[in-house]
Amino acid sequence: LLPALLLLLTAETAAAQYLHPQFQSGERNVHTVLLLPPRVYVQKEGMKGADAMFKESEEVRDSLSAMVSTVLREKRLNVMELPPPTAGRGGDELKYLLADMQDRYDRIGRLLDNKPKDVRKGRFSLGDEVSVLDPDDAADALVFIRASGTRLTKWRRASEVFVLGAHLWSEITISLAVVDSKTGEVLYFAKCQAKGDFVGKTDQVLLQPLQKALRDLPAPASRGDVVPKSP
Amino acid sequence: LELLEQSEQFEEQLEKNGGVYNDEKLNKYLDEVGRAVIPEGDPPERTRWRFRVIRSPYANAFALPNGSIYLSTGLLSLLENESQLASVIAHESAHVLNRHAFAFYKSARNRIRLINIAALAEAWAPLFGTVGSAVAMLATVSRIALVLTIYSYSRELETEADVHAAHRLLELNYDAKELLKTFRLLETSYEAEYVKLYYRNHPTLQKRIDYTSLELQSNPQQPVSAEQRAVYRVRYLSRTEKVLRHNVRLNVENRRFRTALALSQKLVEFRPESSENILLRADAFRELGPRTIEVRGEELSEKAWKIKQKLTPDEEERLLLATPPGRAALRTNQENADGLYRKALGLDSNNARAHLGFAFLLEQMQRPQEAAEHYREYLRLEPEARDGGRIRRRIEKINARPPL
Repeated sequence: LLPALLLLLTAETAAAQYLHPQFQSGERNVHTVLLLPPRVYVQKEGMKGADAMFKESEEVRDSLSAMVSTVLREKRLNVMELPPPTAGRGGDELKYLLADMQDRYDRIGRLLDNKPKDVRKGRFSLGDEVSVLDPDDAADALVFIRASGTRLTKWRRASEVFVLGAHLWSEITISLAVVDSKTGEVLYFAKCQAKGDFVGKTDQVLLQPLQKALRDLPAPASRGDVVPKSP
Repeated sequence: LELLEQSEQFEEQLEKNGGVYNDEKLNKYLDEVGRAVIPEGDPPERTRWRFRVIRSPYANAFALPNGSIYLSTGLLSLLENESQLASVIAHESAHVLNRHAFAFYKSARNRIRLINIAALAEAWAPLFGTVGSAVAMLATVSRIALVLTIYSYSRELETEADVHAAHRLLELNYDAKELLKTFRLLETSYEAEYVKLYYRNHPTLQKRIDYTSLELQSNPQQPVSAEQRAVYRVRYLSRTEKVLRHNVRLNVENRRFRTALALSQKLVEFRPESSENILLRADAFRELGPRTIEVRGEELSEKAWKIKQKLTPDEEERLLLATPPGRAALRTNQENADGLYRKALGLDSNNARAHLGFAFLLEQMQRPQEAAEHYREYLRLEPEARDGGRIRRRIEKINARPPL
């Protein structure tokens, strides 16, 4: 019963943040971010196995995007969003480009997940190709968001209690990365977890963990501030 | 119904997220071949036939319960002719016609429920002494057995689809032997990818070849003439040339440089005077960087694979460049790329992407001033390019360097 009790007690949220050294020192500054559409995967897990929840994934995605936008604005950042791709060839090209950059982030994302502390060493970069997502050079950084959650059915939760399992709650893990829009370097990476009904009560369950995850993100220096230069 | 709904939602999301490759001409071609392969008559209830292309560098095809058949860009790039395309569509259509997804879903769910019940028994049984321990052991064994039966059932369905495909090709005027070649092509790999497969949902290659050969032998087909085979080949390659190009770029983006190189060779062989095809081969050589064209033996070990998984792309390149074979490979690949870029530009001096690729190569080869010239040419030819800012920054960086 001990693991179950511990989990009950820690059914709150957990978050961790990692900053690029130049972002931490103020050498680099972010005023405007371009929020990319989050990639969200939600599944339902019951006694008969797991099922993808595509519709719910989209709903969580939209709420998550809006909430991240709000939290970033609260931190005095300008937030831009990608315009939805138009129909036809040009629209397809943009969709492909975005999908390729999201995939590129996911490949680096695996390493980020394993060794997030290495963000502090400036180890991760997506390459300067990412700047194609912001052709007008309007943003200083791009924000990549990932979320993966499992919603447990009542029977599944009951069975977990019965076998003294660890998964007593529906749970979602969110990660966010702020990436330099010109060089592709990962400037900030944060990860948080939330337990509870993140599908039905998305705002209620996710807002606090997101605020915690973005807590250490430096507020932009005002345009007149003197920013220390690297030697 | 739940499965059908999920299929629709999955497709919608795939389309929205840039997962579907849209090319009107290619879709029309797939539709023509698909409709010819599918037996006449109404589709099964609540299904409609649709043939689409998924953007994935890996060779794969799948059918959704709603009648949508997806072929990956990686698969279309690997196939060589229309008979092979027909064999893949015939195989996938069997899954829809015989409602395999429903059968598998139902069977798998029942087995998973049993697995969960076994887990419950396993958790509490030790509290009931010796009998309980025996129950726990039995529960563990049955859980493993149940997992294995899920895969075995899936293999059964795959075999049924293979046999259906063989019969369909025999009925139509497609070369049925191409089905066997398709199986072999699916095993083609140019990359050092270490994949440990404990369970397989498809029968092994040899088994597939064995039972399909038996089917073909027991139903002999009128030989397809050499002229007809040539028509199938040329028609297929000309209709899929564009998607093949797209897939070469997709492989580069996914760091599958050797596959990109092999596929670009196919393009150049098909149309040797195409500046676009030669450019793709040049790009593939440039991106191959310090890697050898063929996979080296040591790359195939589990240890090498694990190390690679822990490195960023830059770290991987640095590690390779620290070795003499890596440096030698880089020199050879750069020389090859250099020659090919020049050839591509000789064929079409207005090929903007060839100027861009050449500029990247020259910068990599520490020839910044020449690189800047080609960057400028690229911007002149593509003034509205999305990566204009990136290229201008590169030029500025070169200009800011002190002269050598």
